[in-house]
This record gives sequence, structure tokens and C-alpha cells, in this order.
Amino acid sequence: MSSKHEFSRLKTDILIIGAGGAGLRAAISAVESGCSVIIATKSLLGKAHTVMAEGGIAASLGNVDPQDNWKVHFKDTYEEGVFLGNWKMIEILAKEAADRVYELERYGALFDRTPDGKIMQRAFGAHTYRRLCYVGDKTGLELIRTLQDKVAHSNAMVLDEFVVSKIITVNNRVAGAFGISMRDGTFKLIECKSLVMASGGLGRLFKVTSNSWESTGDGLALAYRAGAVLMDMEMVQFHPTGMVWPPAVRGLLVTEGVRGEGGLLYNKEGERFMLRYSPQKKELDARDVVARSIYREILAGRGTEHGGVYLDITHRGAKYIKEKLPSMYMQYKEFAGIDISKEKMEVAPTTHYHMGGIRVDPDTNMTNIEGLFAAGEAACGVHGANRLGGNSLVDLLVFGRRAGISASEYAKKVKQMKFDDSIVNEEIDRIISFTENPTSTNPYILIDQLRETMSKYVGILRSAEDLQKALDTITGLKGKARNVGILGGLRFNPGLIACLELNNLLLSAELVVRGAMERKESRGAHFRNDYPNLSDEWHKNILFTYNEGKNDITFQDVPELPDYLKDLFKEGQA
Amino acid sequence: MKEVTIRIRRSEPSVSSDVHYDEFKVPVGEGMVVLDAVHYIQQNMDQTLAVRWNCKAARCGSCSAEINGRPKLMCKTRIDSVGDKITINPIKAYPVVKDLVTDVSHNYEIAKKIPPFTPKEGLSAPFKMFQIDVTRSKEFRTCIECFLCQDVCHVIREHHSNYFGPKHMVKVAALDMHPIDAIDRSELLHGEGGVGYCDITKCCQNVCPEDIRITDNAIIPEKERIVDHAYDPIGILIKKVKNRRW
Amino acid sequence: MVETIKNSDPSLTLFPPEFKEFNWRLWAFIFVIILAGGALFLYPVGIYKGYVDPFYSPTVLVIPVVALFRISCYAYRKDYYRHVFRHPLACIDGIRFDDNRKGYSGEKTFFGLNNYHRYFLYAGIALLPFFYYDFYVSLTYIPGEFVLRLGSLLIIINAIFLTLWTLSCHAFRHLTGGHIDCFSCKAAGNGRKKFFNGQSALNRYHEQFAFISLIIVIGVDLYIRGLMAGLPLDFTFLKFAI
Repeated sequence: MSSKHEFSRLKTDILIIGAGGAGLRAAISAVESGCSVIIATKSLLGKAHTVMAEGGIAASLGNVDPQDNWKVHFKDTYEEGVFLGNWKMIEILAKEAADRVYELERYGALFDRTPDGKIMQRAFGAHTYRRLCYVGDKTGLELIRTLQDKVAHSNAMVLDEFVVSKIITVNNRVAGAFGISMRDGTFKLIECKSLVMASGGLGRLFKVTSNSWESTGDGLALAYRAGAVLMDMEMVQFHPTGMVWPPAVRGLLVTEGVRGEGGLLYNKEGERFMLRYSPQKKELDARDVVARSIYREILAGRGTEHGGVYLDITHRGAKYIKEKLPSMYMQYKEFAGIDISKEKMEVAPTTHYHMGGIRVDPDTNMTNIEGLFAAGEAACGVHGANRLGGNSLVDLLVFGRRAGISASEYAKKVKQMKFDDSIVNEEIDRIISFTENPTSTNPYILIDQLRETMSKYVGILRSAEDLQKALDTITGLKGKARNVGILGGLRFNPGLIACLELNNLLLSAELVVRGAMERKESRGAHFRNDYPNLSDEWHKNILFTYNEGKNDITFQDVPELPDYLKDLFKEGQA
Repeated sequence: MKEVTIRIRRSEPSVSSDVHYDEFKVPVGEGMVVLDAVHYIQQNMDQTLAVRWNCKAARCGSCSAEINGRPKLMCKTRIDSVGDKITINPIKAYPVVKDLVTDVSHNYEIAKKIPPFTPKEGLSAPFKMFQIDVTRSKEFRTCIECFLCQDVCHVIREHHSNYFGPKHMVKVAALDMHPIDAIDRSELLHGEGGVGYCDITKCCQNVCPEDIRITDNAIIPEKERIVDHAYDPIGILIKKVKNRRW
Repeated sequence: MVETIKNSDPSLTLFPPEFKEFNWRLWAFIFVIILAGGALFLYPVGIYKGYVDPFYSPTVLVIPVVALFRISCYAYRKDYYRHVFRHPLACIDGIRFDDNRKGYSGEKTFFGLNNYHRYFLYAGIALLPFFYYDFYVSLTYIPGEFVLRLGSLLIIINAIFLTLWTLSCHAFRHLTGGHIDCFSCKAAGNGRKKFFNGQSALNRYHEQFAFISLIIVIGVDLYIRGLMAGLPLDFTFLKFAI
């Protein structure tokens, strides 16, 4: 069958997929270097998941604790990632963080201030010093608005509500991307010399999640199908505290700031159980530890009736709470009808972040496909097996910028790859086949089943048995997914987007599960009941390569620290 | 389980001029918000229903609509707060794309016209700024760009005058009140921005889901700044004399 | 197509917020103008036993200035734009009654004159001390004696609310700090910011002060007219020689 549908063509030097922090920051560097830029985003400009970041940006400015420096930041990040992170990327991150924060200020961001007029910094879980530069509890919003404004006044073109459905490569080199504009239902082919994938994570794989609708693993699946290598897909971070009740808001994030401000965790019996799991750091231990402890309490039957534990901040008093945690106060008031200054919150772990992703070169952020770059949550390497709070916003800025620079350098060197329109026509046929299809399977139902399965079997505590169950379900769903379709046409049809996302979700889910099955140890966010200990043997990254419909899994040793970085740890121990 | 009736305005102007309301009976669980009901309809009753949403946590400002005539975020409006019969309209100030989705791109065009942050000459980051200087601008920075204020503003909704709209007044105020910004954008507002069309009836302030006091803290202060350079004969005289001396 | 909403929203059937700010404030204002205008021209009253009628303080000639200060006040502007011109009457769909076929120029043309509010504010501030002076006069109108009467209390309450209304003005807010972007760059910045914050807190209640002060002015005026007409309302609380 041949397509009669038309598509329009756009040409640009650099195409950026995703308009969150990383995408926008990449766009700014790319425009500055004189390249033409198109930003494609699934949502409206400025709605990206980045706006939901609350706590702050980690950068060792030393404004509050002058002892802080990039070395300590490096050490915290590497240790907390349980030695799985790429040292080169972490070093870049820790060294460039301050510049990126000051740059943001130069673009117009307004951080909270210290009494002597510098950027204020707050304490956060597992950061040695007070390191998080923040804007109340809306740091992500400020970051996005600032970058968004910068982009709006540049000549970058923004294609909003545009869903990319395929990346086109020729001889392992990027040639372009193809997708559908939701607003008018038209197809667009974008020819580009380099492409930056800044599409975020896969949080919506799980039923209980703090992630917004974008995080469906689209970018990972697109890049993977185009031949990019993915890495450490099993590393999914669960935030210890998400809302539990009412069911409509289950998973909504309760910021770590609550515990930072003195919030205490209790089980149903009124026991402060963190004293038992972590006598030293208690409630403020790393996210994976706290999340697992809460989960174990719930499993042991000491949870609340809605399946959570209590988080109590009432002892701080109403005035303090409203001043320091206004969003949390509002959130509970609006959604749960609970006054957190008088009542305890019910919380349980929620899916929060994906440490794994597209493997990139630490210096250039280029993937194994020439001209394809990745940054932000879509890329892998900085956070290892567990991400520190505040490190993701700085990751977006540092590697967004670097990806933008590398992408423009590359675009200036090469010529546009030529390809045949038949690829495009095939893709159009594929998309159209979903529409006006009354006999098909409802994609929403499959997505729902997948999300439920993932939350049930691939959550905080994993085992070979559970993972196998998940894999079986995914295989079954993959079969059913061949028959999905929806009513309605191409224009603003959320069902159609769900069909496209379903395939990305299934692929990402399969890789998460396979990775989790392979990694026979417990490290950071990945915990196996049947292999509860950290294993030196597994000081390895798991790599996934798409090979004609199959997933090839290989392993590589985590790059060893150079001596000058090893010394940091010796000093620390001494 | 309890049921509510949800009526949703359906249309797709680029295809046909037909406009009608579809009625759905939706089971309601505890704490459900209007957006949950819309999702339920979309997933189980009518997949073609178009709605824009992102975070479902009142942080992104995507799911703006008019619920029983009131501009609200669907994700922040609990069903038990609006009754058993709920009518949902798209926001009326902007052209409908399909069903509950409207074309708000006009706002992004206006955003380009507002001069960006420009630090005072001779300053370089890290800037020295104090908390007392950042608090005013910070209120406006909580804007989630839901465009509910634009929707409820009669200048835009009924009269289509070339006023930028409350959302952009908030943006301008955020930049103008930045302690080290060098530009005064009130002249732009007096001219192209059309702030003179605003008659301070405060509907924008009433609907803001972030409780930004748009009229009191953004629009009126900007109007007063305009008074400084356009309606203050003494001030203008002083300025002229000063300029002559230079 | 306008969709009218009926009985679907519980808050709408009982007391929609829009109706809580029903025209009463505006009609009260108009009533007062008619009443006061009539009284002023038909039954001029100056001073009764040391009580100065607020309309005559310091002289009836300032009334146009005071009236213009009221008319150009942001609180009253909102009222008459909404309830006289219906731009719009209310915020929610269905009862907005803003006719899109009618021309609309907002404050671009004639009502642009409201931008001169600040000058009437200057005049208003200049008049404030007279009301306190009237209080003093009412206490000491008998040479050698101090007298505290009901009327004196009314006069001071009136003075206080006029002060609150005047000093909570938006134009005044511009002067106290609204025009400043960087307080710390100014001399005594901290103090000025505190003053600005305090004034801003008052400003939140500007609409309420505008209405209450108006009612009190009329009340005092009526009280004094009542006394003049011979009503036995002049209660004395305290009296001693000084």
C-alpha cells in the first residue's frame, strides 16, 4: 500500500527533540554558534517535566559552606551512584556546575539569596555540604522559564505539540527525523545534520509515578531503534515519598524538602522505623535506602490502611510549614483535604527518575550513531545507580550545553545525508494504520496493564521470579500491541499518540526488565531479593543494542578512576 | 460507586462547523479531579476526545478549561467541589483546535515582543542581589502559563483588542522588577502592549491558580510607572530640564 | 454559541462569589452622591457646637477635588466599570454581560484621565490633617474646658478610616516603593522595604477601606445634620476644665 498523504519538509542544521532543560540549553548553545535550530516537543513550550523539579540545582559554589568544592561534589555523586557512574562525566558535571548556575543568573533567573547577597544554598539528602541553589520549591519552573525566554528571543524554531515517530539514519549517521504535528495533523520530515535527543525519561512506565505525560521513553526507543546503544536501563529511581491517598493523586511527589525540614517517618504502630534501618542518617539517608525501608514496612503489614507510612511534620508548626513548604501545604490541602500542619501525611515510594539511558561519549555527548547526541535524563552516565537530589537540574544544563556545542561543531563539519522518501512513506502508512480503526485493540488498556505490571513486579524489590512474570506479560502485550488502533483521524488525537507511545513504552519496559534480570546483585536503586548484596563482579555497565528486532546485551567494565580522583577517596577515608 | 454526569463541548472547526455537547456518566472515586474523569472518558468511552494535559499536579498549566463556566485547571478541580453535573468547555478566548484543546500560540508571539532580561551595564554574574529585592519579582515567577487569566480577561475574550493580556503583564512586571534589569518596559505597555485597555476589574486575579495578585501587584504598578512618564506634568518637566542640562 | 449554566454548580445556586460583590457598593456610592449633593446645596451646614461636618472640612470648596479622588480611585473604577459599563459584570461565563458588539476603549481615551489619580492623592493627603484638627476642635470648643462627646468619637473614627483609605491607595504604593526595583541600592533600603511591605498589606484592603470610609463620612454628616435638626443625640462622656 502506498501513501497518498503529503508531508512537508523542513531543513535545519540541528534538530533538538525535547524542550525541557537539556533541550532548551542545547538550543541556546547551538543558536549561539550560528547554526539553524529546530526544537521539536511533544507538549507546548514551557510545559516540560522539568517544571516539576522542586528542590534545587546542585553546584559547589560554597556560598553557605565555604569548604565545598567540585571534588566533594564529585565524591558525593560517584559514591552515591555506587561507583557505576562515568567518572569523566561526573568530573565535568562537578566542575562546570557553578558556571552553569551563574549563567542562569545572567539569563535572568532569580535565586533565593544569602544575607550577603549571594545565591542561597540548602542541604539535601546525601550531599556533604549545603549545595542546592534554589528558588523556593519551584526551581525547575524558574529554570525552564529562564531558558524558554532566551530561546523565544533567538531564531530557533519551535515545533510544539509535535510527536517524533522515527529517527532517520543512513550508514550509521543521522539524516533527519519524521513526525506528526498534533495541532493540524500534518506530517513533517525534518532533515538535519545533527540531532540532540533530550526527551527525558520513562517514568510513565509505572503506575505509581511522579512523572508527567511526556516521560514515556520515546527518545530512548527512537534512538535505540535507530541503532544507538542504551546503557543500565534497569536503574530506575524510586523517590521515597509520594502521595498515597486519594487514589487519583497516587504517586504525586512529596518533596525531599519535607524530610530536610525535619519530617519524620512512622509506621502504623507509631514506630519511627528509620531508626532501625538507618541509625546514623535516619530519615535523611539516600533515596534508595529510605524508599526500600518504607517499602519493607508496608510489606511487613505495618503500613497504613491505604498502603503507605506516615510522614509527620506537624511539630514544626503551621507558620513554619506554610513558609518553607508552601507547595506541599497546598498540594495536600487541595488534593487530599489534609492540613499537613495538623495531620500526618501518608506517603509511599513513587517512580521518579531513570538513571539509565542512551550511552554517550563523555566529552562530546555523541552516541555511537554519528551526529546523534543525547543529554539530560535521556542520556546515561552521570548518576550511576542512584541519583542525588539536585544533580538532575545541573545535569540538564551542563550536558545540554555541551551537547549543543558538540552538535553544532559536528553540523558544521558534515553535509546533509541524503535518503529515499520511501522510508517516510512507510512511516506514514504505519501511523495512518492506527487511525479510523474500529476493530482494533484499545491502546489505553494495554498501557494500563503494562504500567500495573511494572509497578507490581519491577518495583523497589525485584526477584528473578517477578521479573520473569513481568517479561511474560510484556511479551504478551507486545503481541496484542500489533493490533492497536483508535477511532478518529490525525488531528489532535491523543489516542493516536497513545498508540505511538505504547510501542516505545513496551520497548523501554522490556529493556528495563532484561537489564534487571541480568544484573544479579543489588546496587543503588536496583535491589534484588535473590541477590541482596553489592558485587564487585558486577562493577559493570549493561549495554543494549538493537539487532534486527532482537536485543543484544553486552557488558563493559565501568571506566576506572584516574589516580588524581582515586586520591580523593583516600583523603576521605583518612 | 457514585456517578457524575459530565458534559463536554465537542467541535473540530477545521473539519465542520458542528458544535455539540456529549454527555458521559463517569464513576467517581475518592479525591477524583475533573481531569481524571476526562481521562476515564478518553480511555473507556470515547478515544477521540481531545484534551491537553501534562503533569496532573497543577504545576504545568496545560489543562485549562471552563468548568461550569469558571476558568479552572482540570487537574486542580476536585469533582466533589463542583457537583454532580459538570459542564466542561474549552477556554473561550482562543480558537478551538479540537474539543477541549485551544490554540494558544498567540501568547508565544506576544512573549517574543517583550524585551528579555538585560542586566545593567558593567555588571557580571555572580550578581550581588538581596532577598528584599528579589521577593517582588518572585511572585510573578510562579506563573505556570495556564492562560486562565487571558481567558477571563474581557479585553481579550470579548473585545479582541490588541492588549497583551494579564499573563504578559505578569511577565513584564517580573522583568521590570528584577533588581538589576536595565530596561523599563512600561513604555512598551503604554504603546503596543495596550495596558490602557485594562480596566482593572480583577477577574484575572480571581482565577489565578497560583494566587498571583495580578492586578494589584503587576498591572497597577505598571500603570503607575506609565503615569511617571506619560501623565506626570511635573515629572516630565523635571526630566526635560535635566535632559537639557546634560 | 453561549452555553448557559444552570443549577449544576452548587456554589452557583447559593451564593456565587460574583454576587457577593453585587452592585450595592456602587449604588451606595451613587446614593451618597445624590444625598450629599442635595444636602450640600439645599441645606448648607457648617459647624454645630464644635462639630465640623466632614463635607465642610476645611471648606466645602474642596469637594470637587475629593470627589475626583474617589472617582479616579482604583477601587471605585473597578466598581463602575463592572456594574455601570458591564466590562464585564462578573467573571464567569453566562453572567458576564460584556457585549462584544459595543465599542471598547478601556482607559485609552476618556477614562485615561483616571491616570491623574496621583494628583488627587496629593490633595487628599493635604486634606487629612484637617480632620484631625476637627477632632481637636470638637474636644475644646468651649474655652477652658475639655469635652469628649459621641460626635468627637465619630469624627476621629472618620479621620482614621479616611487616613487608612488614603494611605492604602495604589498610587501611594507606587510612591512608597512601587517604583523601586532595588531597595538595597537605595539609602535606608531595608527600612523602605519594610514600609513598602506595610503599606502593601494595607493596600490589600483598599477596596474595603474605600467603602467603609465613604459610609462613615455620610454617617457623620447625617449625625451632625440630625443634631442641627434638634435630635437629642449629643451624648457627653467626659467633661472637665483645663
